[in-house]
Amino acid sequence: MRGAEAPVSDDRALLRAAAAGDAQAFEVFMTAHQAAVFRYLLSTTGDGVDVDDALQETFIAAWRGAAAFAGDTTARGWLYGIARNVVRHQLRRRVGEPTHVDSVEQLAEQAGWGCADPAETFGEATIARDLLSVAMSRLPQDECEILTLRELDGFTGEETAQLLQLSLPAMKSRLHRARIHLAAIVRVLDGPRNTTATGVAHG
Amino acid sequence: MVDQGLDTVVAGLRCRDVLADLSEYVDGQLNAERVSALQAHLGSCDRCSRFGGHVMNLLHSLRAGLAEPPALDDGSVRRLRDRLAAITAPA
Repeated sequence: MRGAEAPVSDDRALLRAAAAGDAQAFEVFMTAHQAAVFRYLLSTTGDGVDVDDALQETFIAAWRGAAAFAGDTTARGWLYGIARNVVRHQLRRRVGEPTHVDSVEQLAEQAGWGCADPAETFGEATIARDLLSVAMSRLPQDECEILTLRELDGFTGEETAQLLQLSLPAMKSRLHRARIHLAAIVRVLDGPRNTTATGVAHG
Repeated sequence: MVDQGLDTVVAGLRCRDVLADLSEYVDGQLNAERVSALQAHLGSCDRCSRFGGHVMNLLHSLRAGLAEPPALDDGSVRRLRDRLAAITAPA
């Protein structure tokens, strides 16, 4: 299952109870989301942020703000929005428009598009978890963040755009870049693969 | 077909244009007409087809391998609970 979220209706009920002062309900909500929020915080932070502290601040703000949860987004999206604000506050830096040196096309070539060696083909084998973890950690913060939200936590494109305060086209552009960049890093880490080629299908 | 790198045209589309649409294609976000155009290209362009397959495999591996977040360590859980308990305790 992508993400580990509790059912939406449960989350909303738990937040309503928390808003009425039910600390046990809030603890259930917190337990359901704490590991994923921690990972999200890791994906958004560079040096200078205490992720443990950011996690605590996120849930304290959620507890105090539970009554303000309006239900116009998912409870999980609301919680991640709080987490993002906590990190922004801690870093006191602008999030969203970092400078990138390589174009997506350059990254694609680094990832192996059009490689001249006919023996160098892409493998069908599942890419190792540890390799992917290292590759994710080497991405720029904004790209690691968007892949975490879309691919790991399973937020929709619209939810991700809302969380990141981006237009939908800008979100798609960043996501595309992040995917190709990850492929480039994996290739650097893993080297060319020499197994059977495979094709692409959409949907 | 003349090999011009990303400007190579196959089935009426440049590889550059296919690459630009690749994410939306694998996400099923393109309209039927665009999907047909890309599929015609991918059916005849080995480089784009293999690269697209690689990206699909990468995303599948990512979702399968890392979707479940690692559990928090005991110390983090304890500090979180202690902090919350301090603010939720009745006055």
